[in-house]
Amino acid sequence: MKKNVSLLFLFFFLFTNFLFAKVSIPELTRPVEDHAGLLNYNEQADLERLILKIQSKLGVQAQVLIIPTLEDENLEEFSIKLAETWKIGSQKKGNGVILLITLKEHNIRIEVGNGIEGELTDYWAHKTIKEVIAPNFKQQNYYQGIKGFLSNIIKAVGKESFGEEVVTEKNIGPKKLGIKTKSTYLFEIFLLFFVIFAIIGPLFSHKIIKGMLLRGTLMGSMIGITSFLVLGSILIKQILLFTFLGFIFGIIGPSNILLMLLSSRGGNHYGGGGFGGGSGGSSWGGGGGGFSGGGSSGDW
Amino acid sequence: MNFIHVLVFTFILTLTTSCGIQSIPTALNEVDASWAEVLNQYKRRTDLIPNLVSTVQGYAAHEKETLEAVMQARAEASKVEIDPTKLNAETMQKFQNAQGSLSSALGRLMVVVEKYPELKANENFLALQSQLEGTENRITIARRRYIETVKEFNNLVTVFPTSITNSLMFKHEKKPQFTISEAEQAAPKVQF
Repeated sequence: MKKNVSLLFLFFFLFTNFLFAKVSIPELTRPVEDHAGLLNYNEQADLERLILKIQSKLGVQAQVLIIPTLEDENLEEFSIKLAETWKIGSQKKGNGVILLITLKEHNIRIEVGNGIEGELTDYWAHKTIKEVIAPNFKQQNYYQGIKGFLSNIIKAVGKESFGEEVVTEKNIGPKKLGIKTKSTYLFEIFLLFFVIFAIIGPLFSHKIIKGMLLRGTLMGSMIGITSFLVLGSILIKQILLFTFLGFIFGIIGPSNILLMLLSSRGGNHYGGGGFGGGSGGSSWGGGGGGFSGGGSSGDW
Repeated sequence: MNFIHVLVFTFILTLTTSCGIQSIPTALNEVDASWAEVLNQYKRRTDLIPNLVSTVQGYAAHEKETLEAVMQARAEASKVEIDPTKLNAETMQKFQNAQGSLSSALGRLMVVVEKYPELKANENFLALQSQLEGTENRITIARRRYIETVKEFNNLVTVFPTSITNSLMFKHEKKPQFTISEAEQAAPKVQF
């Protein structure tokens, strides 16, 4: 009984870490964070595709955040806090640029990383807002406005022959983007692993393989390799977690695990959303880029 | 006997790592670096001004007084450069006052500019105006970061147990914080 309770605590500790989130700065999970529903699925996918292309061809990491309201916060203060938290752009080059849009206040701010202030000058940011983003937003063409922002980045960072791909229904979609595909199904994958434990577990019974550590190492490495093959090298956090769990399972003894799982089903509830939300950031994130306040603010 | 030895040894070990012998010099370096950044951004503003003044002059030559006031304030502010090692409450106040006066003069200039629509539409002027706004934002952020590093440092220097290490070994004084200078309080706020 005592063993089971302590195991429960272990589980609880491991999983609630994923459920905690920062209060005012949203979690960074994808290139276009639309928290106000201004873009439809295809538009968001297209913009994200373009952002990934810009990153691979020009190195610049662009990020978009749309929030419903700033509430009482100051735009520039929030923007720099956001930039310092998300750290868009590479640490070495400081080549991040963030487009922040607040729906209620109709605010637009472009926050430029401290390494590309030469190409994306304050005046560039001012003109982009005034001549491209605001006019489009006034017509409620949010997609066009943001696309124009990205085009201006391409123009300013100086590569003419960028080669704009034609956007068709065929090449929009999560499969092509490679974003969030695996992480949205993480909860299901996790259930799968429990099933694997249940099946493989009995093979590692006390009689066949002696020695707790040996069992643990074997189990852990098997689970680790399998999860690596399934999840791919991106979701390192999750793979390490599974390996660790496998190790623990091996040590404790699979029959105990099964008993524990079956008896405490009611107690452990981890929402798929929380889990997915916590680990969705693995395939997209900031590279440690710094910001010193360059850019421009405007409205529409 | 052995156990007590171990206990005492561990206790001493924890004391040495948490006593401030590392953290105080580190915090001091952070303060110096963030102050250098503050100076850097103020200098950036100072560097923008000659260009700004000559652009405005092209359209608003009559506003001689206002323009001269800006150049004058700029000259005064340039004189008050503070080496991080000489930073104390007095020199800090002098520095803030000088920069505050420059902010006021710039504010008045921007009020005057409102009277000249052609100037306001001039490409060069618009570029300078954006740069000025951007620089003001950078100054605000640099100041905020300085305030944080000073808070960190002052805490280490005044709060037990690192304060003991400071009084025994380093004998650092508290670093000065930013306050709103009187000149800054009087600066007219202009929305661009």
